[in-house]
Amino acid sequence: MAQVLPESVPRSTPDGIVQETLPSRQFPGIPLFILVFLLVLPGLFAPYLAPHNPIRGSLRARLQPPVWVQGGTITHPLGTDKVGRDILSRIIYGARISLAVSLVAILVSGVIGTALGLMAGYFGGRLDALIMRLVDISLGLPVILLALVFVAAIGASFITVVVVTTVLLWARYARQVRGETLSIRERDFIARARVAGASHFRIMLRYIFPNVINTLTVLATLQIGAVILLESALSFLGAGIPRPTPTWGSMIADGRDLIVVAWWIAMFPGLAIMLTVLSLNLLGDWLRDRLDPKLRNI
Amino acid sequence: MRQARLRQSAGLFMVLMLLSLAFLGGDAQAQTREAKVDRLVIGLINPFRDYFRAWISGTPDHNIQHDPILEWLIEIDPDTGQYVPWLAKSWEMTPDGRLWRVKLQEGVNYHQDYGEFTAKDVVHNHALWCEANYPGRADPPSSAYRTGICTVERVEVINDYEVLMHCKEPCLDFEFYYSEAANVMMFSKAQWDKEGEMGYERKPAGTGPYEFKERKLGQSVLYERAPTPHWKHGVVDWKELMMTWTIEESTRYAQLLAGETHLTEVNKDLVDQLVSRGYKLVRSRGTAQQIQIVFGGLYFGTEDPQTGRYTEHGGITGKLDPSEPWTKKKVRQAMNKAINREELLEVLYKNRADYMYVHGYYPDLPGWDPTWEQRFPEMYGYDPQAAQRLLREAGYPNGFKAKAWLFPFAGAPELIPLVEAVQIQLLDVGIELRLEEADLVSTIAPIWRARKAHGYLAAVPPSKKAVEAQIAVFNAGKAGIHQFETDEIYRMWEELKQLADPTERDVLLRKIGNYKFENFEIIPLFNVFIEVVVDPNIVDDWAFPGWDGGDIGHTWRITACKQEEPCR
Amino acid sequence: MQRYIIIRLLQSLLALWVMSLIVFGLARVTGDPIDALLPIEATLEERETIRRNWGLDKPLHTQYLVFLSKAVRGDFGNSWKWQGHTAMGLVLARLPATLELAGVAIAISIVLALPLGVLAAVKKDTLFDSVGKMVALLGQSLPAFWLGIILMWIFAVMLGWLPTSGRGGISRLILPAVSLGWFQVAVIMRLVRSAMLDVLDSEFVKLTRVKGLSEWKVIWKHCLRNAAIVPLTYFAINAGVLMTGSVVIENVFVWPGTGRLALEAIQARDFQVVQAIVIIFATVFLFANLIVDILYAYLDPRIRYQ
Repeated sequence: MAQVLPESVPRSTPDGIVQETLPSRQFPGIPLFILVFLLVLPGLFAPYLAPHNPIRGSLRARLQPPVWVQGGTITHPLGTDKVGRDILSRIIYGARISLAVSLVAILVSGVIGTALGLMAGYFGGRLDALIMRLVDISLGLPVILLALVFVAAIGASFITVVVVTTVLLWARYARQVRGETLSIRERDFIARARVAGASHFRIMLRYIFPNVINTLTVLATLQIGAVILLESALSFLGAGIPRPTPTWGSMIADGRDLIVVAWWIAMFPGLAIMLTVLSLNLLGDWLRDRLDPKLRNI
Repeated sequence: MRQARLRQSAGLFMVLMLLSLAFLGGDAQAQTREAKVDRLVIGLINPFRDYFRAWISGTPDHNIQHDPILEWLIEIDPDTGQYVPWLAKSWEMTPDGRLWRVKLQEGVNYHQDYGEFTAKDVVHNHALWCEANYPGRADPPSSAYRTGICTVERVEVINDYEVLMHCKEPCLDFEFYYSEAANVMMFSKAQWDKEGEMGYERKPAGTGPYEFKERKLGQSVLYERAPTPHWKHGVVDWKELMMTWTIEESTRYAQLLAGETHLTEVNKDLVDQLVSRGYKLVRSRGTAQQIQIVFGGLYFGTEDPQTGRYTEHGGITGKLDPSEPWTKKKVRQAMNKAINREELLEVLYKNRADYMYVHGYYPDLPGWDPTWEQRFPEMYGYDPQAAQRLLREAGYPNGFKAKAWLFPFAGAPELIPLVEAVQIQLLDVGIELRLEEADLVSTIAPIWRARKAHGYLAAVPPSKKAVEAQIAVFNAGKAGIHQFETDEIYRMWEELKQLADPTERDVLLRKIGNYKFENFEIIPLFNVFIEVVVDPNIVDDWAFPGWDGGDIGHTWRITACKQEEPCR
Repeated sequence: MQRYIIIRLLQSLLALWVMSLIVFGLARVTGDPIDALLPIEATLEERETIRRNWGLDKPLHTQYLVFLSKAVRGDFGNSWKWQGHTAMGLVLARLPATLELAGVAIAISIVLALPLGVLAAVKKDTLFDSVGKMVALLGQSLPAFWLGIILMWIFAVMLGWLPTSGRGGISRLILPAVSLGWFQVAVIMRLVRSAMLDVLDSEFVKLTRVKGLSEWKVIWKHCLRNAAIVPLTYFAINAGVLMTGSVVIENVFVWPGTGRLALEAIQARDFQVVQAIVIIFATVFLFANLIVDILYAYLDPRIRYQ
């Protein structure tokens, strides 16, 4: 299967000739705007932007509705949670954690996946078979169960969330990069480099890697959303980043039982995730069309 | 003329008769009106264990599945909290406290034609728990209460309806250990002999008002009304009774609103919401649990492997660490005084709880000291300034850092926000808690057992039980908890076990209680009730005591709402 | 050909063995199952008795060998949490529910994604395309449990059209399947779209156009046939994604499947059941893939000789 399925999604464009078959999409201005304001700015400047301490709350002020709902106050524009913490502040700080988790997880899984993918595609043969078998396993098997067992074993923390996410995501990079590498390695400039005496490592790093960067960019953009969602699923299963650290995922998980009494606890972080992931997807789509129109099977 | 008159009066008579018949008939109809649904569905959180052989892991809060079908010797009256007759008709203790004469109810029959309940069944069930190698029992018994249950070392049969329970040492709490609050439910000896232990799993025969019908593992269990009226409760209101298990709070809530369940347990915020929508709050008639925060690492007692003191559960591995701030009494008092109980009670517990003073003590149980209530505000009451002063005196003018565990606990959803709120309150006196989410059974329990909980706070909800049992489990190291242990309390506990006179026992229990109270052994918070919400169109009421094991038992006392309007 | 099959078979067995090592090893470090099963008050002696009964007093490698030798015969031992049941029996009893849910979720996502993908390809950058894409992306942008709770709230409580939870009948299947399936819609839509674009570009389609077939017919009959295979391939490769979703969704909707069983087993440290679930899933998946591979190899001789 390893030999067959990656190519099973049709790739008709001849190797190396980039055909602009799609009219380029509109520049994703709104998504970018949303991302900057929802993820990047809060992530970088949380302490300056948040009106309250995200950890300290006042019990007496618990379950206050947002300002526009009867009973809400301007002090807590988006209301408060079960122990009276300010939702807005938690969302702002949560962006920072979500951003950190996503970036670290994507970086780690990207590096591992790319390295393995490059090697598999470049060397082929047994190594390729081995790596692709690992890829199959991690995509097809209930890795989430192993991940939960893992968390049960060593306890939930930022690190475990990153590890679990990496275990679940690296295979996608490996698969994609291997596919690209397979076609790139047949091209003339690789042969020329080989003749010129470049080492395998150098060829992979200097000649092949630059050619897969576009793919990686697109994939990473799309994966940030996946990481945020995965973190929230882990929180739901009791294996997320521990309290009282605010993350969007854990805020939803925490507020889910009161969704009918105090909808704002779960709704606003939910909206934040939705808008962010949506924007990332739109941005990713645009990047893909822009950078690499033949790359359609991500 | 006369004829006409006769006819007239006859007509009138007829009319009157018809009217009165109609009236009577209507009345009769009202009396025999049935429950509005045939099947009562109870939406519970989790099944705890999906098997009936209670001795495999006998945590007594987990007997809910046994409750409709099986019966115990002694009942805890929901309304008074007193021990009252059940399968045992009467019981009395000899003055030395070492022998109980128990008379059994006559004419009680097991389901499925397994014959009458008699002394042989008592012997059998005692042996299931206490005999090391009982033939036919594959798994060894284990339970919180096995020590207490097996203080009865021999059951002597006088006749079919009378037994003598011989105790190793005074067993004043016999009533507790053979009540529904503990584990010794009366399975059928005849069924055991005929089908073996797996018979209890396939279709356990009990003496209760319901018979076991079907279990869908991890999903639900179904009971049906026994074909003959129950010897004690007559005919129960429901043809069928079903329990379903749903971990997700919001799903249980939705199930009730959608009419798929008729009774469920949810957190207090959702209870309020449901009550405002016309649903009815029903709570245990008595206190069910004591919400408290325990200090990790109060291992003051000296271990003694010879007598097994504090060593039975691997306790000897962890030692007292005097550098822990709260090994100093003043620090424990300071932390108590930093807690704003009023705020927690009002906001988290919606004022539906009472203050508690000493762990394990209840006004209706022996050892209670009415002065605690008056002394409490002075010693424990909220006073951040006093708390800071105490911390200064203890050598922590700037407070200190500590840790607290967070864990989900089925049926006590407030524990997590409680700890989060306490974290915030303690910050005001300079004590910084780092919260750690952990699993109670796999992470915290082993640490407790090994006496290595130094530096950790944990909020726990121990359920109501006999006072001596509480001390044995929490203070004398007779379990893996090691909450607050000193040589003093151990000595008093040993003395307590030899007392046969209830009055002397009461005095000593009070002394132990005061010792605990004055040493600030814990951060006592609230006596809470078990709360359930019912659909008032279907269910009228449910009287349940809320004791350990009986947590939410007495399912036969869930009565149907038989009137047109909702039963508010 | 024979040699190819043998090699692939060996590879699969090797993968299975590695899985067994991983799951066995991970399970042992999660904590003592005795702690999870016995009350905290249980005495040391009681604990030791149980430990002996379960064979947990033996050294790890002995435990592993016992586990392995039984597992190859399909015996995963008795469950510790669900006394009186075998681990294998528990998993097999729950498997149909999970397969049913996953199957319907896949069906729902394909039914939604196919037309959306086709439209996105044909009516590129029109309102159709944008709206369709938004619907698809929405599913991918929401945490599945959150979506589930909200759907339950709307359709079961507010509207009363569907039951909230449990299994039995189609009505109980709809909400969990939608919550699980919606997530995949965007991905599949993308795949279908690009596959469609490829097919629309191909000589074959140009030829049918020249032949004068209506555009509609070209698209739906000739192109779709080629595009439809895409989502199926996707699910064949990404079965693990569905598993992640079903653990979450089964818990929200009280669906009696293996996902819920797995979570409860992990919480109770019931290694026997955890091992059985992972190994059974792995076996099913690996051998399904093996068969697919062999079929491919049979159809395309080049692969055999690679």
